Amino acid sequence: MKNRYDEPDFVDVVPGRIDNARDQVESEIRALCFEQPFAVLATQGEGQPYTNLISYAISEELSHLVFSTPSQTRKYSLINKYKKVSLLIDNRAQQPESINLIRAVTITGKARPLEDPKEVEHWSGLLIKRHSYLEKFITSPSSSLILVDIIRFFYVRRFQEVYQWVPGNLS
Amino acid sequence: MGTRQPFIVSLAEAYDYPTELLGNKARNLSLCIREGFHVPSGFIISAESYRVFTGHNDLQQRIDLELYRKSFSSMRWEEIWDVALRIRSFFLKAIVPAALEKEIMSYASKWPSGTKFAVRSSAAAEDSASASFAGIHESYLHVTPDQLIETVKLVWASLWSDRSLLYRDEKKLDSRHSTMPVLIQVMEPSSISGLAFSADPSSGQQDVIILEVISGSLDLLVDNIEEPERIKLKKDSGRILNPSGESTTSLMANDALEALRLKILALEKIFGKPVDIEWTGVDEAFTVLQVRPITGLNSKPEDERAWYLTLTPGKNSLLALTERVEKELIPKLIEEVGQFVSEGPFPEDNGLFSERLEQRGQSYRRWKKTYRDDFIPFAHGIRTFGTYYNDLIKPDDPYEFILLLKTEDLMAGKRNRQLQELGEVLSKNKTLKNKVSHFLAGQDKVDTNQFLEKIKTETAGGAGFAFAFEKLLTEQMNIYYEKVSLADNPCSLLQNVLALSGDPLKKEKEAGDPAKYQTLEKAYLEKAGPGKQTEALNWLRIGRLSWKLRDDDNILLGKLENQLYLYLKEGLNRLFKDGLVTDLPEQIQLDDWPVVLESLQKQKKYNPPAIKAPAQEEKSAALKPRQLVGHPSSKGLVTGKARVIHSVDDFKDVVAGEILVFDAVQPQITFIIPLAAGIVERRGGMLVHSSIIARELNIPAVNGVSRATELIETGDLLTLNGDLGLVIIGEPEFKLEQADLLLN
Repeated sequence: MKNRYDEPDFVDVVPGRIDNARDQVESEIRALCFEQPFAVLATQGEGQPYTNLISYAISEELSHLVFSTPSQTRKYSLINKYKKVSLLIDNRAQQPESINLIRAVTITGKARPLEDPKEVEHWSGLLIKRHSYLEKFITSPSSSLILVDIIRFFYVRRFQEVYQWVPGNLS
Repeated sequence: MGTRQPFIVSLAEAYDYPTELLGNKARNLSLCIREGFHVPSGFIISAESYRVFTGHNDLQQRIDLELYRKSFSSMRWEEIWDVALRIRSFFLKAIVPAALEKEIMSYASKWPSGTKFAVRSSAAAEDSASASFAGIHESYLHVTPDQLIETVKLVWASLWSDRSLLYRDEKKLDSRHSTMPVLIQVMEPSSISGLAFSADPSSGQQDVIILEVISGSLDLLVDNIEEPERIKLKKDSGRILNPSGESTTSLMANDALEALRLKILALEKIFGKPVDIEWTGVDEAFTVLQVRPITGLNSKPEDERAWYLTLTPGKNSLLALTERVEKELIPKLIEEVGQFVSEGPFPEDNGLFSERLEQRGQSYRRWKKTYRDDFIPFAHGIRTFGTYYNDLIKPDDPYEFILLLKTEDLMAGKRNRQLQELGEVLSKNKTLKNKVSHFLAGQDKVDTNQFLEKIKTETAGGAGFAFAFEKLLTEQMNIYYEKVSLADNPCSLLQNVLALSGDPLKKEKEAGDPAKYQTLEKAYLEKAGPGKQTEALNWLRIGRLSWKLRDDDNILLGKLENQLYLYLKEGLNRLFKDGLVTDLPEQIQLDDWPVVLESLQKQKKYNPPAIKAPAQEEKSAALKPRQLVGHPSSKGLVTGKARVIHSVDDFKDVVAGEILVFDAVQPQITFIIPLAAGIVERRGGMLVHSSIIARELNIPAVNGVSRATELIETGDLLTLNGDLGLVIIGEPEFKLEQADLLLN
């Protein structure tokens, strides 16, 4: 039986805690980013924030995120002018009953359209693997691939618990 | 609307409906009616009613927010109790939809006016073969029709009591979708009643019947008011198997006993397995109050429910405990500590010294047991009063009752004031203050005793200060805490006094305002009315005593431990001189006193036990908490630097205005709190010592923050939100993003 009392044995306090499990924050971020197909992308221009829903894929080490957009879109021109972006990925659609079970990650990073054919080949492959039904859209000559270099993640769980995680060695 | 399920079903028809709607307790009784047994008539308020009620008041969402803001497994019992108290308060304030209330009241009016009811839980998972829930949920007896709705709300709320939550967690039952049908039955008078088991639940033996019989109604037995007569029968022959060998019982004639045996056998046959029966009346008057399969037969001999039930001692055991703690235990503890302290310096004679060490060791052993057996359960007096207060007043803030508890000084409070007064002396006497800071900066090259002697003669106002400081040290800091005596490090204490001298002294706020609690007390007693005045006063008295003693007992026991600590330390020195200890241990283990004693008495070699260093989790540079969640234990907002307290060694570094981060704060060390601008604590609960002091000093506090001392580092910028229970770490910056842009 667990010691739920957590009262010191007599008054000789032995610091201890019930919660021994290692934090799963990193693996939770990973799971969320891989299980979700869509993200909200925030761009900016003329001091005006602007959001879109996108289909994305994320690299194994969580350092890059890729999506596709027609080059005539507002978000494309905004990113061309101002590369700082933010993205929101969450599981709210799967958790209508409990706000405490919703998980969300806010990503900051900088975005750039890909031009190098090798890069395009690599990242479009990843995106098509995740969203095969979008192959025609992704490979259309009028679409551009946008790669986001991820700087950090802000991960929220249980309504208000927030962790920051920096992939790679940026920290 | 589509076809909804019924709000109410008569007990006679309940067997035709699913368990999910009416619960096992009701269905089992309905089956008994069908089989020709007498069962008090009644009806069931279904799970559908519960869902409509909770839906109407958004209770499920409120419960969810309270219950799952932290992982359930990381909550200690006090936190779960707090969650349960808040949920109970939501239920009490929630409104039963008019259509539902009308249906319940019109059904109840089928019985003649003046009828009293039993209102009992019949939760869906209850009384199944795998989980009994006996005593986990609430039942109320002798309920009048005008009390019916409020009582049903209490039974509904008991689905979310600490006991119920813990039990479901242990049984891996889904709390999120739990519902609570409520069984309403007419109360019938009875001259004899009891429990019956058609197998021995403790041994698993199936050829016997176990009876517990009392004269009068069953609640006298269930509430432990009356001791029952216990009877063991051979199941097939009815032969009495009592150890005394007697062939008759005092409460039942032999033919009545035989009639009872046949009824029990008939019930066992209906359910197809050994049953546990609550019954009343014999022969023609035999009535089934409750019947359920015996759980855990042959699997676990011990009653696994027992632990949950001890969490909140019953009314009567708490009353007895109050008497014992107040009149017997605390005076005895004070006397014993006083006796030890008054014995003066260590006797030189080794024989006498060993004798005194043993007295202290034995005393420590005895009081350790008392602490577990009596003092910890007695702390529930506060909670019992709180629940009573909330039921009566239904306040907006379920912790309003705390304001009524503080009437006289806690021992820790007196000590803290002495410390603050010393700080005040320094803030007024600049010369003295300079001397103290000079000394503490290590520039005098003398120890604390020498310094105090020096200022007694050399500095104006120095003598008064030095004597008061020495008094504080010897009378209030002669306390053992986490392997050290608080008196061991006078420098650290002097440092705290100096730090207090710079801080504008905190004024006690509304909690200490007599006008406020007098108004509340008056309102409380008025609400109770003349009929309940005595009862209300009694609970208030128990609440107050429990409040004071749960703080004071720690201080007193700390002094007792200190006595053992001092004797062990001296004992080890003597062993060292005699060459019986090679190295003096860094830490003194109080529980090792019998071994030290034996070494002293027999001049034997002593090997100190090895100390295991606690395992440290590796820190990840990449992962940082930005906002942690705990309980809002004292209101307010504050931003400041974190000072993580790993042990009392860290006290000397505390700078006034820092936010102190603790694993657990005990009354022995609450003197450091007046220096803090805010408190974060891993150990959670609205009634823990640190939150009480924080509320009195009007500083924000958040507790129940999992792994607080690991995740937060000294120097981190913290913002405490004591209204919502949040700890925000760092500033809302975009430095990484800016730096990255510059690089590329």
